[in-house]
Amino acid sequence: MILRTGPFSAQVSRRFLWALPVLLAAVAALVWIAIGAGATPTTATERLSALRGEGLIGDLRRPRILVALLGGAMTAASGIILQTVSRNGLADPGLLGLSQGSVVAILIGGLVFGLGSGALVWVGLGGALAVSVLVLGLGRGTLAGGGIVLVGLAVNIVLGSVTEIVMTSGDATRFARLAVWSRGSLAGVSAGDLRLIAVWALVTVPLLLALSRHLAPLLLGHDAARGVGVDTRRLLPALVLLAAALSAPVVVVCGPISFLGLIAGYVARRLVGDAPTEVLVTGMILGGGILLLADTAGRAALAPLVVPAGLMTSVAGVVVFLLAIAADRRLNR
Amino acid sequence: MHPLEVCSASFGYGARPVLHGVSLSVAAGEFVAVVGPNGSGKSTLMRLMAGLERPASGTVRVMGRDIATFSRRRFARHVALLTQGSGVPQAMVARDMVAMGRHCHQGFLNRRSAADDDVIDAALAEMEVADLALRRMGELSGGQVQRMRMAMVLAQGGEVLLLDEPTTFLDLRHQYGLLRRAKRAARDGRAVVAVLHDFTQASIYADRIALMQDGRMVGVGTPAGVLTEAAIHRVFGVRTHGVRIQGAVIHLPVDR
Repeated sequence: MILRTGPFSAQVSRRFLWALPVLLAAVAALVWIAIGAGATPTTATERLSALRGEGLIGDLRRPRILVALLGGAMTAASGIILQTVSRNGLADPGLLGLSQGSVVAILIGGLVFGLGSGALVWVGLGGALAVSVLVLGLGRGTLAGGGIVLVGLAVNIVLGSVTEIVMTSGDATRFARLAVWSRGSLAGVSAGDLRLIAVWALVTVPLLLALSRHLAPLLLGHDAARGVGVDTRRLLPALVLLAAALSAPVVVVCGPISFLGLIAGYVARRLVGDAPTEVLVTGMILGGGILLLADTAGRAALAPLVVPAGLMTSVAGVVVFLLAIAADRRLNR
Repeated sequence: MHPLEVCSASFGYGARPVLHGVSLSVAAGEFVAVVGPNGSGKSTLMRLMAGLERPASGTVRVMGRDIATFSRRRFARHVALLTQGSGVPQAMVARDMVAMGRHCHQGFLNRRSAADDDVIDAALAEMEVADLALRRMGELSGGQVQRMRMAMVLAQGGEVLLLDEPTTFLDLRHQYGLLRRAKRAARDGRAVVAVLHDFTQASIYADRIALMQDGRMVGVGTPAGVLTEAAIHRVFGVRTHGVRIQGAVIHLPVDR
């Protein structure tokens, strides 16, 4: 379906127009459940005032919900960019090692140099960028195949052991605190964290939507993309930078949330097809919803046991990962 | 001034030289086929003409202007390139892929004009794939995919059309169909260059043949003038007996 007025025109698929309100309604319902979920039952009026940020529940749960929505959306967007750049539906900031790169950089910046969370975003961004250059560089010849995921896996293992070394070299309290963060958790989220994430979202998301028009031709391969007029030599570094800038702030606040980009990208493509702008918007709503669901289920469903959101998405992610590989095999025969 | 001019262009990948002072001019309305053995530099010449590589020395000019001075977007409005098969987005609706040919004509706020749609429809009709336009690319056969890709570059427009081994994945009927479309594009006033493996096919459809060997242009002219028995022996290393049927040059190997 094509919309036109005067010199302006845009293309929207029917499936996207269906998916958008349904997903938004689902996320709204999820927010309603999340604001009420906890040890003590809440009334509708209490939930409404909490959503406005009033009272103890409002102080605690509102920033946590908003961080889940924004952080999930940003992680999903990062994954979908990487999937488009590498032409590989399995790419994800967690799987390719970008998150782990941020984790190591943040651990070193925080523990060795004692930096605050605002500065740590930049350090995390540097770590994510270093890894993305390494992984995309090493995996360049095999971008379209599974090679890039293998390179990411190898980098992840190395960086993971660095993380373990840093964590186990301190005392027990520090270990406990870092252990939760390094699995990806929203338990410690504060209003300050929300501000941090929101600022980065305000910068990166509009930039991404402005560039999204150029994403579709990348799916044809880089030569063909240049053939139809995309300057890949400028676009690709910009997109990788953007992917890192979308994932690093989330890692600072929540730790690495693995598989979220993969799940959101996969489900979004299933829902709306292959037009990158639509996949991005759909995937970001899904990403926010999935992270909120993971966090809420992790703290409420198995209470008093609390499961970090990162572990919840990893479990769901492995299932989607296997489904995606099976579907891939069907398509490529 | 010709739409496409390559003037003594040389190029190498690292220390390995691939092209040595190659020149080729293609006029508007002309279909030139580049032929030669594997590794003769055909595809590299194509990459230079498409602006994917810069010549180490010499120039490539499009519409009289050195292509190094074009932005990618401006360049794409003049030169359309059909790359060798490099995979297509499986879940994408075919028509949306063809629409990517219009990318260089669109802007942030003008993503699909009515004029774009007319051009896209015409290209789909030209390649006889209009009835498949709403299918997903993953559902199409190899031949249908290639015709969709051709529709995409036809929709792109421009004065120059470059086709890098366009017939590779096609059966005979679609090979001839695609070359006929390429010739028609030339008759409509474009400068068309195709890298082809089969010089018999090239002789049937092309106005001129550019014969390459070891990174050099060893013959440019009419099919009958270039594709002689002596030239085929020298370049491909096979002794043949040449036959001409209605303008086509057919070579039969002598030691059968």
